[in-house]
Amino acid sequence: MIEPPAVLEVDRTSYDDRTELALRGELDNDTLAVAQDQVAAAEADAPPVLVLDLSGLEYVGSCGVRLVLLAQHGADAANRRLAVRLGHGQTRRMFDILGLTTRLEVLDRDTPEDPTT
Amino acid sequence: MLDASTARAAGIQQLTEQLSRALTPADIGRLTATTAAALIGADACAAYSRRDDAEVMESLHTHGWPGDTHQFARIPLHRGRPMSDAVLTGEPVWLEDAGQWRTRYPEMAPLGVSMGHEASAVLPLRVDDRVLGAVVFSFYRPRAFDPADREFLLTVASLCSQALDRARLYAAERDARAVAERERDRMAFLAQAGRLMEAPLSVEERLRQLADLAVTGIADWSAVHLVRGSRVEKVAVAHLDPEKIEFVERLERRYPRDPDARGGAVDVARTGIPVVLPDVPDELLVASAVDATHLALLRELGMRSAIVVPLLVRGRSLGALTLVHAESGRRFTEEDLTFVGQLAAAAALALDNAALYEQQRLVARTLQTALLPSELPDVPGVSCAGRYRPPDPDLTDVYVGGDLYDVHLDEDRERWALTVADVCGKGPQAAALTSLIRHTVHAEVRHGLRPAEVLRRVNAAMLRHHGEARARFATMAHGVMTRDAEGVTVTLVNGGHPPGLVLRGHDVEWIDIPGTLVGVFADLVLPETEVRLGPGDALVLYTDGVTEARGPAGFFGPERLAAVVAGLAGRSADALADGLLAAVTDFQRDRLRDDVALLVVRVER
Repeated sequence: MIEPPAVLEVDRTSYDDRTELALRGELDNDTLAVAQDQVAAAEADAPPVLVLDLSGLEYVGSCGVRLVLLAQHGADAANRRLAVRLGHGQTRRMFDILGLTTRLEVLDRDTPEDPTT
Repeated sequence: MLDASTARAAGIQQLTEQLSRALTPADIGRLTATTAAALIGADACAAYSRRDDAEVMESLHTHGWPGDTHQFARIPLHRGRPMSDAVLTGEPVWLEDAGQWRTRYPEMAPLGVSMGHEASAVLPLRVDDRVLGAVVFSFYRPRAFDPADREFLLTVASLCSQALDRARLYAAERDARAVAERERDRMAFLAQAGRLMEAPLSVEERLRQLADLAVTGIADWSAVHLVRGSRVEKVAVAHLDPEKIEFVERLERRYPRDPDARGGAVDVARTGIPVVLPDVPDELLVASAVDATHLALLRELGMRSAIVVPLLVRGRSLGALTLVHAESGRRFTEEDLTFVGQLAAAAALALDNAALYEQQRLVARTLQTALLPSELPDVPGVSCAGRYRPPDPDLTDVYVGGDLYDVHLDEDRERWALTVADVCGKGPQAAALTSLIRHTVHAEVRHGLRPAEVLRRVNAAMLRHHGEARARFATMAHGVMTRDAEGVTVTLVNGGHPPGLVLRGHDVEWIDIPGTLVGVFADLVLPETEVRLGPGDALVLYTDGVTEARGPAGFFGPERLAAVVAGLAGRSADALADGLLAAVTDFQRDRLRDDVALLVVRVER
């Protein structure tokens, strides 16, 4: 059996105070480059806050986490903020296991409600 | 007069019918020179064809001329000669007797009126404004070409012209079809050769089969030579007749080739410059022969024509492909170089790929040896089993992943370090980090450090290793195991790694301890926990290639993992590791999404 290639969709929405990238589908080694391109494009606009919304992902592999680490690195270097939405499913568990939840600005850390909206 | 006119009309009808059945220019020429000439009452006739704007006319057919007419097979166009004038002006030349010949064409008259010929009608073969050639009707008696006669002769010539035009079109179409069919056959042959070059065979077997394929249509003989170090060796020779191959083998046994000898395929293989011999000259055989018997045997092979092309890839010549026409009598020309060159390129690419694959395999094997233990140490009262599987079983030889399992002894403290790690990514960069982790763990454990401190040292080493680019991380489960009379105690830390589990009897317990992934942050949260294993208990550590495995039934997931491990209760460490690996690979139908590493430590009962 040949597994069909993973699919990732990224929607970008710009607000006055932030740019949000909403990821849907699967974020893994195969789709990482697509997501990185979208993050780089968003970073090029230098928004004060870049929000990566990962709550709509069906799957995130540990290598998909590199996307967030690279974005955090980029934001730190440019003195901007990076925030994430992780939802409360598999993505959140993955970030918990990796010990990342406490090290990132997680917008939906405690409740399913998003405090920024 | 009416009878003559009726006879001419009937004759023209008959000629028309015959011409309509003729297919080739030669057939038209023959009918013109015989049937048409008879109809006209000519004593001799010669029909010539001119190709496009060629400066030469070629004889299609001659009839009625005594003596050898071969010398007139091709005649150059030369203004001031009757046939050339007819062709160049498109107008007929009427010469009614020998006197007119001498007056108008004094230079040509001796030929034109030789053997008693008198009158000649030299008519261009015209279709519209195209002159396709000319026809000469010659008569032993003077003939006054009156207007009716001229019209009749021109009508006959016109019929022949139209038939010649049609035959030429037919011939051109047939030639084009033959070229297209040859190209199609060659493309099919190249495709077949391409498939052969991808077949799961050894390089030499592929080349042997290529040589065999070549003698099924494009040559009578074929051979492949390869450059091996300073030598050029023949690796394949083929002919459809096995007796001929035996003949060559006997010949070569009797007259062994000097391995340093030059010439032919050896030179082409060394220089990369192809050679086309439309004819194999006998002098070549004489020069190659050692003695008269050898020469006789070489001649017996009947080589007529040969082409030798180098196996070129990336500017290097790896060998040569030789094709020879013998008994078929066919000839190779310079035009064949493109096709045979394409065939050789396919073979060269396959050779190059095979060499690269072998190199990659060697590198991968060397790296993998450095990354994974060749065997796990003996731990008294404890059995350990480690497994590693790349995503694709076919890649076992060439894949370098980022997963690691290891058990090693800290002799000074009589404790054993257990490690399972997963570096994000794959390939050489991941392998370099995996190697860094393995060797840092070894060194720091020998320094007597506790597991959390070992991970911090690994973390620091990784941060130093990749400087500012801190996104390539690793997850690690690491612990030290000490023995006592009742079992073992494992002090574990978890650097962002999937939780391990312990199998006690038929129960599975998760060791869910928090911890930060390794290689990204300077400060790590790494609480240690102690896991106690009694007789029969087993600790299972794994990489996320297990839980994130995905098959038709979705993700493998932690629940399925726990169920599979529980189902393996009572098994040895090896059986447990094999059973779990089989469950994961079967779940994904043998094609893994990610590589998998497993470590099972079980206290003997």
